[in-house]
Amino acid sequence: MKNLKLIFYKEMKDSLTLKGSYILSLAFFSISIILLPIGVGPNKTFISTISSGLIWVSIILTSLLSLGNIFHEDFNDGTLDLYKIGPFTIIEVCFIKAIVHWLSNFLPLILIAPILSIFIEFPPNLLIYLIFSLILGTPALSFIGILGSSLTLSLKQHNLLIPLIIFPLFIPTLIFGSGAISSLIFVGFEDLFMRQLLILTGISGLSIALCPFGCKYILDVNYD
Amino acid sequence: MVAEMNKLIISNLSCHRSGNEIFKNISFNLNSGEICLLTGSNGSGKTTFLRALAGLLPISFGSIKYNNAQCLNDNFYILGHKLGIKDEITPYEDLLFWSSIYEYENFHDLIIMLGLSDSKFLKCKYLSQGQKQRLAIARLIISKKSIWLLDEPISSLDKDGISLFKEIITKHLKTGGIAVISSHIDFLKKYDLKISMDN
Repeated sequence: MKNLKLIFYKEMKDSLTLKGSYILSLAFFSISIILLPIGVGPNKTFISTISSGLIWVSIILTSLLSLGNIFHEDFNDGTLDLYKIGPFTIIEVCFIKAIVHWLSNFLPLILIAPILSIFIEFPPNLLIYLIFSLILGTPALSFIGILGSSLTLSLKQHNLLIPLIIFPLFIPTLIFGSGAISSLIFVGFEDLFMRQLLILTGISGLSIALCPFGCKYILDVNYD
Repeated sequence: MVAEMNKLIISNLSCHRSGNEIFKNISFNLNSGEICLLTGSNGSGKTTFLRALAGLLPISFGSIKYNNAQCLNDNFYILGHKLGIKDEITPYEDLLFWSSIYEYENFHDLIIMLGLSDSKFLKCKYLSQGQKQRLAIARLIISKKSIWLLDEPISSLDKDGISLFKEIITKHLKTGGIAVISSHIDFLKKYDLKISMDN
Protein backbone atom coordinates (compact mmCIF):
# COMPACT_ATOMS: atom_id res chain seq x y z
CA MET A 1 0.00 0.00 0.00
CA LYS A 2 2.91 2.33 0.76
CA ASN A 3 4.31 1.78 -2.73
CA LEU A 4 0.96 2.53 -4.31
CA LYS A 5 0.78 5.83 -2.45
CA LEU A 6 4.29 6.69 -3.65
CA ILE A 7 3.40 5.89 -7.25
CA PHE A 8 0.20 7.88 -6.91
CA TYR A 9 2.08 10.98 -5.68
CA LYS A 10 4.72 10.58 -8.39
CA GLU A 11 2.14 10.16 -11.15
CA MET A 12 0.10 13.07 -9.82
CA LYS A 13 3.18 15.27 -9.80
CA ASP A 14 4.19 14.14 -13.29
CA SER A 15 0.69 14.77 -14.56
CA LEU A 16 0.37 18.25 -13.05
CA THR A 17 3.89 19.54 -13.57
CA LEU A 18 5.41 17.63 -16.47
CA LYS A 19 2.65 16.75 -18.84
CA GLY A 20 0.38 19.71 -18.13
CA SER A 21 -2.31 18.14 -20.28
CA TYR A 22 -5.01 19.39 -17.91
CA ILE A 23 -4.36 22.97 -19.07
CA LEU A 24 -4.93 21.99 -22.69
CA SER A 25 -8.03 20.01 -21.66
CA LEU A 26 -9.46 22.96 -19.74
CA ALA A 27 -8.80 25.32 -22.64
CA PHE A 28 -10.31 22.98 -25.24
CA PHE A 29 -13.39 22.26 -23.12
CA SER A 30 -13.97 25.94 -22.38
CA ILE A 31 -13.58 27.00 -26.00
CA SER A 32 -15.87 24.27 -27.32
CA ILE A 33 -18.63 25.24 -24.85
CA ILE A 34 -18.25 28.99 -25.39
CA LEU A 35 -18.21 28.71 -29.18
CA LEU A 36 -21.40 26.69 -29.47
CA PRO A 37 -23.93 29.46 -28.74
CA ILE A 38 -22.12 31.62 -31.27
CA GLY A 39 -22.40 28.90 -33.91
CA VAL A 40 -25.97 27.82 -33.19
CA GLY A 41 -27.49 31.28 -32.91
CA PRO A 42 -29.52 33.13 -30.29
CA ASN A 43 -32.25 30.51 -29.82
CA LYS A 44 -31.98 30.10 -26.05
CA THR A 45 -34.61 27.38 -25.76
CA PHE A 46 -32.85 25.23 -28.36
CA ILE A 47 -29.43 25.67 -26.74
CA SER A 48 -30.86 24.87 -23.33
CA THR A 49 -32.48 21.71 -24.71
CA ILE A 50 -29.19 20.34 -26.06
CA SER A 51 -26.99 21.69 -23.25
CA SER A 52 -26.56 18.44 -21.31
CA GLY A 53 -25.62 16.51 -24.46
CA LEU A 54 -23.26 19.28 -25.43
CA ILE A 55 -21.42 19.17 -22.10
CA TRP A 56 -21.05 15.40 -22.30
CA VAL A 57 -19.89 15.42 -25.94
CA SER A 58 -17.38 18.18 -25.14
CA ILE A 59 -16.03 16.24 -22.18
CA ILE A 60 -15.58 13.10 -24.26
CA LEU A 61 -13.87 14.98 -27.09
CA THR A 62 -11.64 16.75 -24.59
CA SER A 63 -10.60 13.46 -23.01
CA LEU A 64 -9.15 12.33 -26.35
CA LEU A 65 -6.46 14.99 -26.05
CA SER A 66 -4.94 13.39 -22.97
CA LEU A 67 -5.73 9.68 -23.25
CA GLY A 68 -2.93 8.99 -25.72
CA ASN A 69 -0.30 10.13 -23.26
CA ILE A 70 -1.23 7.93 -20.32
CA PHE A 71 1.37 5.29 -21.20
CA HIS A 72 3.10 6.61 -24.31
CA GLU A 73 5.67 8.88 -22.65
CA ASP A 74 6.47 6.38 -19.90
CA PHE A 75 6.95 3.68 -22.53
CA ASN A 76 9.27 5.83 -24.63
CA ASP A 77 11.50 7.02 -21.79
CA GLY A 78 11.74 3.63 -20.04
CA THR A 79 9.70 4.44 -16.92
CA LEU A 80 7.23 1.69 -17.81
CA ASP A 81 10.12 -0.81 -17.85
CA LEU A 82 10.95 0.21 -14.29
CA TYR A 83 7.32 -0.17 -13.26
CA LYS A 84 7.15 -3.64 -14.84
CA ILE A 85 10.16 -4.90 -12.88
CA GLY A 86 9.21 -3.00 -9.73
CA PRO A 87 7.89 -4.47 -6.48
CA PHE A 88 4.25 -3.99 -7.44
CA THR A 89 1.95 -5.39 -10.10
CA ILE A 90 1.30 -3.64 -13.39
CA ILE A 91 -2.43 -3.90 -12.61
CA GLU A 92 -1.87 -1.56 -9.68
CA VAL A 93 0.05 0.83 -11.91
CA CYS A 94 -2.78 0.79 -14.49
CA PHE A 95 -5.32 1.45 -11.75
CA ILE A 96 -3.34 4.39 -10.38
CA LYS A 97 -2.72 5.84 -13.83
CA ALA A 98 -6.47 5.82 -14.56
CA ILE A 99 -7.26 7.49 -11.24
CA VAL A 100 -4.55 10.10 -11.79
CA HIS A 101 -5.90 10.73 -15.30
CA TRP A 102 -9.37 11.26 -13.89
CA LEU A 103 -8.17 13.57 -11.11
CA SER A 104 -5.95 15.67 -13.32
CA ASN A 105 -8.09 15.81 -16.46
CA PHE A 106 -11.76 15.20 -15.67
CA LEU A 107 -12.00 16.74 -12.21
CA PRO A 108 -10.95 20.22 -13.45
CA LEU A 109 -13.54 19.93 -16.24
CA ILE A 110 -16.26 18.94 -13.76
CA LEU A 111 -15.34 21.87 -11.53
CA ILE A 112 -15.43 24.37 -14.36
CA ALA A 113 -18.63 22.96 -15.94
CA PRO A 114 -21.02 25.01 -13.71
CA ILE A 115 -19.35 28.25 -14.82
CA LEU A 116 -19.40 27.30 -18.50
CA SER A 117 -23.01 26.14 -18.25
CA ILE A 118 -24.02 29.82 -18.14
CA PHE A 119 -23.00 30.17 -21.79
CA ILE A 120 -25.28 27.35 -22.94
CA GLU A 121 -28.35 28.26 -20.90
CA PHE A 122 -28.15 25.14 -18.77
CA PRO A 123 -30.93 25.26 -16.13
CA PRO A 124 -29.18 26.42 -12.89
CA ASN A 125 -31.48 24.31 -10.71
CA LEU A 126 -30.15 21.13 -12.41
CA LEU A 127 -26.46 21.93 -11.98
CA ILE A 128 -26.06 19.70 -8.96
CA TYR A 129 -27.51 16.76 -10.94
CA LEU A 130 -25.17 17.49 -13.84
CA ILE A 131 -22.13 17.46 -11.57
CA PHE A 132 -23.39 14.31 -9.91
CA SER A 133 -23.78 12.53 -13.27
CA LEU A 134 -20.33 13.68 -14.41
CA ILE A 135 -18.68 12.46 -11.21
CA LEU A 136 -20.37 9.06 -11.58
CA GLY A 137 -19.87 8.71 -15.34
CA THR A 138 -16.44 10.09 -16.19
CA PRO A 139 -14.40 7.46 -14.28
CA ALA A 140 -15.53 5.01 -16.97
CA LEU A 141 -13.89 7.22 -19.60
CA SER A 142 -10.52 7.21 -17.81
CA PHE A 143 -10.57 3.48 -17.19
CA ILE A 144 -11.66 2.65 -20.75
CA GLY A 145 -9.07 5.17 -21.89
CA ILE A 146 -6.18 3.21 -20.39
CA LEU A 147 -7.18 0.30 -22.63
CA GLY A 148 -6.87 2.48 -25.72
CA SER A 149 -3.65 4.01 -24.49
CA SER A 150 -2.06 0.62 -23.85
CA LEU A 151 -3.21 -0.72 -27.23
CA THR A 152 -1.47 2.11 -29.09
CA LEU A 153 1.56 2.14 -26.82
CA SER A 154 4.35 1.90 -29.35
CA LEU A 155 2.63 3.58 -32.29
CA LYS A 156 3.67 7.02 -33.45
CA GLN A 157 0.13 7.83 -34.59
CA HIS A 158 -1.37 6.83 -31.26
CA ASN A 159 -3.40 10.03 -30.96
CA LEU A 160 -5.15 9.29 -34.25
CA LEU A 161 -5.93 5.66 -33.47
CA ILE A 162 -7.19 6.02 -29.91
CA PRO A 163 -10.46 7.77 -30.89
CA LEU A 164 -11.23 5.05 -33.44
CA ILE A 165 -10.59 2.29 -30.93
CA ILE A 166 -12.36 3.64 -27.87
CA PHE A 167 -15.16 5.81 -29.24
CA PRO A 168 -17.57 2.85 -29.48
CA LEU A 169 -16.84 2.05 -25.84
CA PHE A 170 -17.60 5.64 -24.80
CA ILE A 171 -21.06 5.64 -26.40
CA PRO A 172 -22.96 3.95 -23.52
CA THR A 173 -21.52 6.48 -21.07
CA LEU A 174 -22.52 9.31 -23.40
CA ILE A 175 -26.06 7.99 -23.88
CA PHE A 176 -26.80 7.44 -20.20
CA GLY A 177 -24.85 10.46 -18.93
CA SER A 178 -26.51 12.88 -21.28
CA GLY A 179 -29.83 11.03 -21.10
CA ALA A 180 -29.97 11.27 -17.30
CA ILE A 181 -29.82 15.06 -17.37
CA SER A 182 -32.11 15.35 -20.41
CA SER A 183 -34.74 13.40 -18.52
CA LEU A 184 -34.75 16.18 -15.93
CA ILE A 185 -34.81 18.97 -18.51
CA PHE A 186 -37.88 17.50 -20.22
CA VAL A 187 -40.66 17.66 -17.66
CA GLY A 188 -42.38 14.33 -17.11
CA PHE A 189 -39.37 12.03 -17.40
CA GLU A 190 -37.95 12.61 -13.89
CA ASP A 191 -38.27 8.93 -12.95
CA LEU A 192 -35.85 8.05 -15.74
CA PHE A 193 -33.08 10.10 -14.13
CA MET A 194 -32.39 7.70 -11.30
CA ARG A 195 -32.46 4.65 -13.59
CA GLN A 196 -30.04 6.18 -16.05
CA LEU A 197 -27.78 7.33 -13.23
CA LEU A 198 -27.68 3.79 -11.86
CA ILE A 199 -26.74 2.39 -15.26
CA LEU A 200 -24.05 5.09 -15.56
CA THR A 201 -22.68 4.10 -12.16
CA GLY A 202 -22.75 0.46 -13.23
CA ILE A 203 -20.72 1.23 -16.37
CA SER A 204 -18.14 3.08 -14.30
CA GLY A 205 -18.02 0.31 -11.70
CA LEU A 206 -17.50 -2.34 -14.36
CA SER A 207 -14.81 -0.28 -16.06
CA ILE A 208 -12.97 0.26 -12.77
CA ALA A 209 -13.18 -3.45 -11.96
CA LEU A 210 -12.21 -4.87 -15.37
CA CYS A 211 -10.13 -2.36 -17.34
CA PRO A 212 -6.91 -2.55 -15.24
CA PHE A 213 -6.85 -6.32 -15.84
CA GLY A 214 -7.46 -5.86 -19.57
CA CYS A 215 -4.79 -3.20 -19.63
CA LYS A 216 -2.30 -5.52 -17.94
CA TYR A 217 -3.01 -8.22 -20.53
CA ILE A 218 -2.55 -5.74 -23.39
CA LEU A 219 0.70 -4.45 -21.89
CA ASP A 220 1.98 -8.02 -21.66
CA VAL A 221 1.30 -8.88 -25.30
CA ASN A 222 1.79 -5.45 -26.85
CA TYR A 223 5.02 -4.50 -25.08
CA ASP A 224 7.38 -4.45 -28.01
CA MET B 1 30.02 -12.99 5.44
CA VAL B 2 29.23 -16.05 3.35
CA ALA B 3 27.02 -15.18 0.42
CA GLU B 4 23.93 -17.30 -0.16
CA MET B 5 24.37 -19.72 -3.09
CA ASN B 6 21.92 -18.95 -5.86
CA LYS B 7 21.66 -20.39 -9.32
CA LEU B 8 20.24 -18.98 -12.54
CA ILE B 9 19.41 -21.60 -15.15
CA ILE B 10 18.55 -20.57 -18.70
CA SER B 11 17.33 -23.47 -20.84
CA ASN B 12 16.78 -23.41 -24.60
CA LEU B 13 15.64 -19.82 -24.65
CA SER B 14 14.27 -18.67 -27.99
CA CYS B 15 12.58 -15.45 -28.98
CA HIS B 16 10.64 -14.29 -32.03
CA ARG B 17 9.55 -10.78 -32.83
CA SER B 18 7.14 -10.00 -35.67
CA GLY B 19 7.65 -13.53 -36.96
CA ASN B 20 11.45 -13.21 -37.10
CA GLU B 21 13.67 -15.40 -35.00
CA ILE B 22 15.92 -13.16 -32.90
CA PHE B 23 17.81 -15.86 -30.99
CA LYS B 24 17.42 -19.59 -30.56
CA ASN B 25 18.25 -22.29 -28.01
CA ILE B 26 20.39 -20.25 -25.64
CA SER B 27 21.23 -22.24 -22.53
CA PHE B 28 23.61 -21.48 -19.68
CA ASN B 29 23.89 -21.57 -15.91
CA LEU B 30 25.22 -18.90 -13.62
CA ASN B 31 25.93 -19.29 -9.91
CA SER B 32 26.17 -16.61 -7.26
CA GLY B 33 29.11 -14.32 -7.88
CA GLU B 34 29.36 -15.14 -11.58
CA ILE B 35 29.21 -12.81 -14.50
CA CYS B 36 28.34 -13.43 -18.15
CA LEU B 37 29.38 -11.27 -21.09
CA LEU B 38 27.17 -11.11 -24.16
CA THR B 39 28.92 -10.09 -27.32
CA GLY B 40 27.71 -9.76 -30.85
CA SER B 41 27.34 -7.40 -33.74
CA ASN B 42 24.63 -4.76 -33.93
CA GLY B 43 21.22 -6.34 -34.32
CA SER B 44 22.38 -9.74 -33.08
CA GLY B 45 19.73 -9.73 -30.33
CA LYS B 46 21.67 -8.78 -27.19
CA THR B 47 19.15 -6.18 -26.04
CA THR B 48 16.21 -8.44 -26.91
CA PHE B 49 17.81 -11.27 -24.94
CA LEU B 50 18.28 -9.10 -21.85
CA ARG B 51 14.75 -7.69 -22.10
CA ALA B 52 13.34 -11.19 -22.49
CA LEU B 53 15.28 -12.31 -19.40
CA ALA B 54 13.84 -9.38 -17.47
CA GLY B 55 10.33 -10.41 -18.47
CA LEU B 56 9.77 -7.32 -20.59
CA LEU B 57 9.42 -9.33 -23.81
CA PRO B 58 7.68 -12.67 -24.21
CA ILE B 59 9.89 -15.69 -24.85
CA SER B 60 8.84 -18.18 -27.52
CA PHE B 61 10.41 -21.30 -26.01
CA GLY B 62 12.57 -22.30 -23.10
CA SER B 63 12.63 -21.52 -19.41
CA ILE B 64 14.32 -19.22 -16.93
CA LYS B 65 14.76 -20.68 -13.47
CA TYR B 66 16.26 -19.15 -10.38
CA ASN B 67 17.04 -21.55 -7.54
CA ASN B 68 15.01 -24.24 -9.35
CA ALA B 69 11.83 -22.15 -9.31
CA GLN B 70 10.28 -20.33 -12.23
CA CYS B 71 12.02 -16.99 -12.31
CA LEU B 72 9.97 -13.88 -11.64
CA ASN B 73 10.59 -10.24 -12.44
CA ASP B 74 11.35 -9.78 -8.74
CA ASN B 75 14.85 -11.15 -9.18
CA PHE B 76 15.94 -9.07 -12.17
CA TYR B 77 16.87 -5.46 -12.68
CA ILE B 78 17.63 -4.25 -16.18
CA LEU B 79 19.77 -1.24 -16.96
CA GLY B 80 19.01 -0.62 -20.60
CA HIS B 81 19.19 2.12 -23.19
CA LYS B 82 16.00 3.74 -21.96
CA LEU B 83 16.82 5.00 -18.50
CA GLY B 84 13.35 6.09 -17.34
CA ILE B 85 14.51 9.54 -16.28
CA LYS B 86 12.03 12.41 -16.43
CA ASP B 87 13.42 15.75 -17.59
CA GLU B 88 11.65 17.92 -15.07
CA ILE B 89 12.61 16.16 -11.86
CA THR B 90 15.94 16.27 -10.04
CA PRO B 91 18.23 13.28 -9.34
CA TYR B 92 17.48 13.76 -5.64
CA GLU B 93 13.71 13.47 -6.20
CA ASP B 94 14.19 10.47 -8.47
CA LEU B 95 16.40 8.60 -6.00
CA LEU B 96 14.16 9.56 -3.09
CA PHE B 97 11.22 7.97 -4.92
CA TRP B 98 12.98 4.75 -5.89
CA SER B 99 14.73 4.36 -2.53
CA SER B 100 11.33 4.67 -0.84
CA ILE B 101 9.91 2.05 -3.20
CA TYR B 102 12.76 -0.40 -2.59
CA GLU B 103 13.22 0.60 1.08
CA TYR B 104 16.87 1.55 0.59
CA GLU B 105 18.06 3.82 3.36
CA ASN B 106 21.46 5.22 2.41
CA PHE B 107 20.74 6.84 -0.91
CA HIS B 108 22.48 10.03 0.25
CA ASP B 109 25.74 8.07 0.35
CA LEU B 110 25.02 6.76 -3.14
CA ILE B 111 24.66 10.29 -4.46
CA ILE B 112 28.13 11.12 -3.10
CA MET B 113 29.63 7.83 -4.29
CA LEU B 114 28.35 8.30 -7.83
CA GLY B 115 29.53 11.91 -8.04
CA LEU B 116 26.06 13.40 -8.28
CA SER B 117 26.36 15.71 -5.25
CA ASP B 118 26.77 18.89 -7.29
CA SER B 119 23.93 18.10 -9.63
CA LYS B 120 21.46 16.46 -7.27
CA PHE B 121 19.11 19.46 -7.30
CA LEU B 122 19.46 20.17 -11.01
CA LYS B 123 16.61 19.14 -13.26
CA CYS B 124 17.52 15.96 -15.12
CA LYS B 125 17.16 17.70 -18.49
CA TYR B 126 20.35 19.62 -17.64
CA LEU B 127 22.36 16.47 -16.86
CA SER B 128 24.84 15.02 -19.32
CA GLN B 129 24.24 11.50 -20.65
CA GLY B 130 27.01 10.25 -18.37
CA GLN B 131 25.38 11.79 -15.31
CA LYS B 132 22.06 10.24 -16.29
CA GLN B 133 23.81 6.88 -16.58
CA ARG B 134 25.26 7.37 -13.08
CA LEU B 135 21.75 8.11 -11.81
CA ALA B 136 20.50 4.90 -13.44
CA ILE B 137 23.38 2.99 -11.79
CA ALA B 138 22.33 4.45 -8.42
CA ARG B 139 18.85 3.02 -9.00
CA LEU B 140 20.39 -0.32 -9.90
CA ILE B 141 22.05 -0.46 -6.48
CA ILE B 142 18.90 0.79 -4.74
CA SER B 143 16.85 -2.04 -6.26
CA LYS B 144 18.76 -4.65 -4.19
CA LYS B 145 17.95 -7.21 -6.91
CA SER B 146 20.19 -10.23 -7.18
CA ILE B 147 20.43 -10.48 -10.98
CA TRP B 148 21.65 -7.45 -12.90
CA LEU B 149 21.04 -7.28 -16.64
CA LEU B 150 23.26 -4.56 -18.03
CA ASP B 151 22.88 -3.41 -21.62
CA GLU B 152 25.93 -1.42 -22.71
CA PRO B 153 26.29 0.00 -19.19
CA ILE B 154 29.48 1.98 -19.75
CA SER B 155 28.65 3.51 -23.13
CA SER B 156 28.21 7.01 -21.68
CA LEU B 157 30.59 6.83 -18.73
CA ASP B 158 33.95 8.57 -18.48
CA LYS B 159 37.15 6.90 -17.23
CA ASP B 160 36.34 7.52 -13.55
CA GLY B 161 32.79 6.36 -14.11
CA ILE B 162 33.98 3.10 -15.67
CA SER B 163 36.37 2.30 -12.80
CA LEU B 164 33.62 3.15 -10.28
CA PHE B 165 31.21 0.89 -12.15
CA LYS B 166 33.79 -1.93 -12.08
CA GLU B 167 33.97 -1.58 -8.28
CA ILE B 168 30.18 -1.64 -8.03
CA ILE B 169 29.92 -4.82 -10.12
CA THR B 170 32.73 -6.50 -8.17
CA LYS B 171 30.98 -5.70 -4.89
CA HIS B 172 27.67 -7.02 -6.27
CA LEU B 173 29.30 -10.30 -7.29
CA LYS B 174 31.09 -10.64 -3.94
CA THR B 175 27.77 -10.34 -2.14
CA GLY B 176 26.33 -13.23 -4.12
CA GLY B 177 24.86 -11.35 -7.04
CA ILE B 178 24.77 -12.41 -10.68
CA ALA B 179 25.31 -10.15 -13.69
CA VAL B 180 24.71 -10.53 -17.42
CA ILE B 181 26.37 -7.76 -19.40
CA SER B 182 26.16 -6.89 -23.06
CA SER B 183 29.06 -4.75 -24.12
CA HIS B 184 31.28 -4.09 -27.11
CA ILE B 185 34.10 -3.12 -24.74
CA ASP B 186 35.71 -5.82 -22.64
CA PHE B 187 36.00 -3.61 -19.56
CA LEU B 188 36.27 -6.29 -16.86
CA LYS B 189 39.34 -8.48 -16.45
CA LYS B 190 37.52 -11.75 -16.00
CA TYR B 191 34.18 -13.18 -17.06
CA ASP B 192 32.88 -16.55 -15.97
CA LEU B 193 31.05 -17.03 -19.24
CA LYS B 194 31.15 -15.41 -22.66
CA ILE B 195 28.32 -15.84 -25.13
CA SER B 196 28.45 -14.66 -28.70
CA MET B 197 25.01 -13.78 -30.01
CA ASP B 198 26.32 -13.99 -33.58
CA ASN B 199 26.39 -17.79 -33.37
